[in-house]
Amino acid sequence: MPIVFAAGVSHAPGVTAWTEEAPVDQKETIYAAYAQVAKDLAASGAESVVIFSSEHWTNFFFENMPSFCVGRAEHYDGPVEPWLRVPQMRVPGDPALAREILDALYAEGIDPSYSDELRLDHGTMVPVHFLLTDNMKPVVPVIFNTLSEPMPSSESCFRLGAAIGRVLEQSDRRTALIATGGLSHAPGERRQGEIDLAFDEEFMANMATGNHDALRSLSHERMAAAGGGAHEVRAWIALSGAVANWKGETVAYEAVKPWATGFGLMEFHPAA
Amino acid sequence: MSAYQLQKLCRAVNSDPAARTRYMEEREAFVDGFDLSDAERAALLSLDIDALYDLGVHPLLLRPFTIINGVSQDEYLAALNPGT
Repeated sequence: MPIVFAAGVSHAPGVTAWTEEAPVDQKETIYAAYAQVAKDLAASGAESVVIFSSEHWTNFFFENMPSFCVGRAEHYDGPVEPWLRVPQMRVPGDPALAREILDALYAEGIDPSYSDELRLDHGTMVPVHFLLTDNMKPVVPVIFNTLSEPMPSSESCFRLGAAIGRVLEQSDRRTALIATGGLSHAPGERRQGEIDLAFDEEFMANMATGNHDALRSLSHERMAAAGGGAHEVRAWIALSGAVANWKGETVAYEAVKPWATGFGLMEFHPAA
Repeated sequence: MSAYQLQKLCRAVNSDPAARTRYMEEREAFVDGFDLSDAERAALLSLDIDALYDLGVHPLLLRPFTIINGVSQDEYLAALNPGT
């Protein structure tokens, strides 16, 4: 069975850590959207979930910074942040599927790193919390370097995603694909709180229509201008490569000032 | 100086409970365990957030590091934007 579900979701930690600081209507819109995505994911019958994600200095640092790392552990513990207000959990892994992905990528000359022990921070645990708590499935996290320059290009992310998409289409597993990160935000920066609405609108539109030329050529500089956290949309670009013929539909988008982020959720479906 | 050692110190405090305890209890000795410039050492010991930022500590290391030091969000942004 092929990919049976795909979605992109933001994971900025305010959604759980500072929930009450958001205007009630924005908070309810985002929580309802996450509930909708969780319901649709469960209904898809996915057996495993591949998560294109980013981390925040949890496993990797300047002494060794992979562009991409495929998790092939038996399980993952998270979140590492005690202040996140997401319950501690042990998330089952899918090492067999991870190995299937790695073998196929290496065979075609794409060589991500891999790890048998990853701790999960909010970058992966926020989506796991909202989407899988009531419908836990084994996961394969794929961590992207979105922290340290140089970072993988949009083109490189797209090609990685396309290659993983080909593996999943031929796998015996029914898989769901989640991309997480973004949108515009600048956590910890001098300009924290600024949200680049134009960036978010254009990016979501390009994801929805599958404008691959625009996504593959999205520059590091344009992402940086939308805030350091906007580099995380590389995961979404990879998803676009994996489900290249699918179209996206926005489930919700809110620019949430108290969480200092543009927060978006989008589901993808095969073009009719 | 690449700020590598400076950022390594911040990451240790952020993510390693034993390092955090040493930082809290024996700050100078802990700081002297890293190969820092004089400016980096001074900025750390006085928790000069603006200076640490300009010395190149990544924002996603610096903000958690200041949370551990009891710095609120408003205080953090005020330190980075003096005069606003």
